[in-house]
Order: sequence, then C-alpha cells, then structure tokens
Amino acid sequence: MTDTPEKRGFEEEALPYMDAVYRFALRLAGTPDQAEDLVQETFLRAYRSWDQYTAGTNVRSWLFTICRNLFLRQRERGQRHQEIVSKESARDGENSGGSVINPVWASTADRDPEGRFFASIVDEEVLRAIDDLPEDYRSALVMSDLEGLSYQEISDALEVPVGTVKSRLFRGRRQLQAVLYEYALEMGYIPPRPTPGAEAGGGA
Amino acid sequence: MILDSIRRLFGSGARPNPCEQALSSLQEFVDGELDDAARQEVEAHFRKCTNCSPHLSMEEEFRRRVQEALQKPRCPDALRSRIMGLIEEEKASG
Repeated sequence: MTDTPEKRGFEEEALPYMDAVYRFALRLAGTPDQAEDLVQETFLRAYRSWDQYTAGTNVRSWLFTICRNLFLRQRERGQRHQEIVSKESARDGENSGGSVINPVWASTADRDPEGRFFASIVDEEVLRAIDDLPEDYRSALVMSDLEGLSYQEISDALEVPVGTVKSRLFRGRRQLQAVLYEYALEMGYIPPRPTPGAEAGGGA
Repeated sequence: MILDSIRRLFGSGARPNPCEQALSSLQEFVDGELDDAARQEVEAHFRKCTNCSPHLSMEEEFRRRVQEALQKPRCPDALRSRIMGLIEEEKASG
C-alpha cells in the first residue's frame, strides 16, 4: 500500500490507542498471548482499511469494533457475526428489567451500605469476575468503565442500539457486583450479621 | 429497617416518587449520561436523601474498584514494536 498523507494520519490518530485496544483485547481473549495476536491483527486490519475510516469520527470506537469483530469471528469459527449480534441483542431488549434496589446493596445494607468491601478485593479476582461475564456484557462494561466511552460511542462500536447498551451495562454490572459480593463474603470482607443471641447480650 | 422505609416510600401511587426516580437513574447518573437538568435533580436528591445516598456510594465504590483493576495492563513494548514493524512493511510493500 502506498504511503500517502492519509496513511500517515493512521500513525497520529490510531496508534496512540494501542494501550486501550490491548486492555480491551485482554478482556475479550482472556490470555496475554491471544490478546497480542488480536491486537496485532486489529491494527493491521485498521491500517489496511484506513481509507474507509471517516475522519472526525471516533477512532477508538472504530478500533474496538474491528477488534471485537475479529475476536467473535475467531471464536465462532464460521458462524456469521450478524447471527451472534442479533441473538445477543434479542435477549437484551430496551428495558434493563431490573429492580431499582440493587440486590447486593439489599444484602449488605445493614453491615456495609456503602460497599466498602469492594476495595478489599484484589485486582486478579476483579479481573477474573469480569472475564467470566458473557462477552456482550463484558465488552460494554470495559468500553464504559475502562475507556469512558459514552453510550452512543459504545452503541457505534458494538453496532447495537443505545437501549441495548444500557441494558448490557446494567445487567453486566449487577452480575459482576453479585459475584464480587459472594467472593467478599467467602473472604470475610463483609462483617457477619450479628446473631440474635449476641444482639440481646444474652448469657448467664 | 432501611429496606422497610424504602418499600414504604415506593407505595402504590401512579407517579414515581423521588427515590424511585433517582435510583432508576443511578446508572445514567454515574455514567454522566443525564442532561444537565436531570443530573442536577438527581444529584440534589442523593445529597439530601439518607436512604438513597448509600446506593450512590456503593455504585461509585464498585466503579472505582473495577476501573482500578482494568487500568493495570499496558501494551507490552515488544508487541508495540512488532506492530510498528508490520505497518512499516505494509508501507514498503505498497
């Protein structure tokens, strides 16, 4: 491919997002080796199709779209991407469908209402819980919480409606909170509920 | 006790009460997706409502923890060099 001014723009606009794409790829692929392959392929594809990129639109979203599509293609081995997207979108709907009261909050309201137990959980456990989320929840959550993309930017990257983005974020976060809550309980990061006998100060 | 008071607040009225409105907007509020008027209204409610403010605190604590964990990895230097090399090869082959 000829080195043109447009291609030189790729280095200025796209390459600075290599860290962001790597972090995203790591959460998609799960292992550093697979993430590296994914990142490498993403940037090569992006460079080759740079003339298809519309200047002034969100480069990061565009790169995430390429990365995710590559990952899904590798994962499904021939199953068409649109089938995956439409299957995943069909179960999301516009409504996040959850109660306004967070079940994790309800469980800890009497002991740790502000969720301080989250701070006790090590990075590896948080990342493991994120990696265990369904891919569509995980992608939306990483784009939002790691990269600060807006709902519209995530919608563009995932090629789904904004309502679906909100639903995936809501469900993904609730699921993640529930997993981290269970882990925190196991590890004793959440104070136990006082037993009725202890509250009464009973004893002979 | 906290749950009981929130349940009483929700009641059976057709119009959502301020607590329900604020809590149902919690995700958008923390994500910065509310317009100015809605954001100010929700922010004011969380500031004064002692039943709802712990929900906001928990959500912020949770987001902070997730962001900290996600931000750690950086693209390895060897990968960065490899990608730059491949792009240079693409340029040269054109």
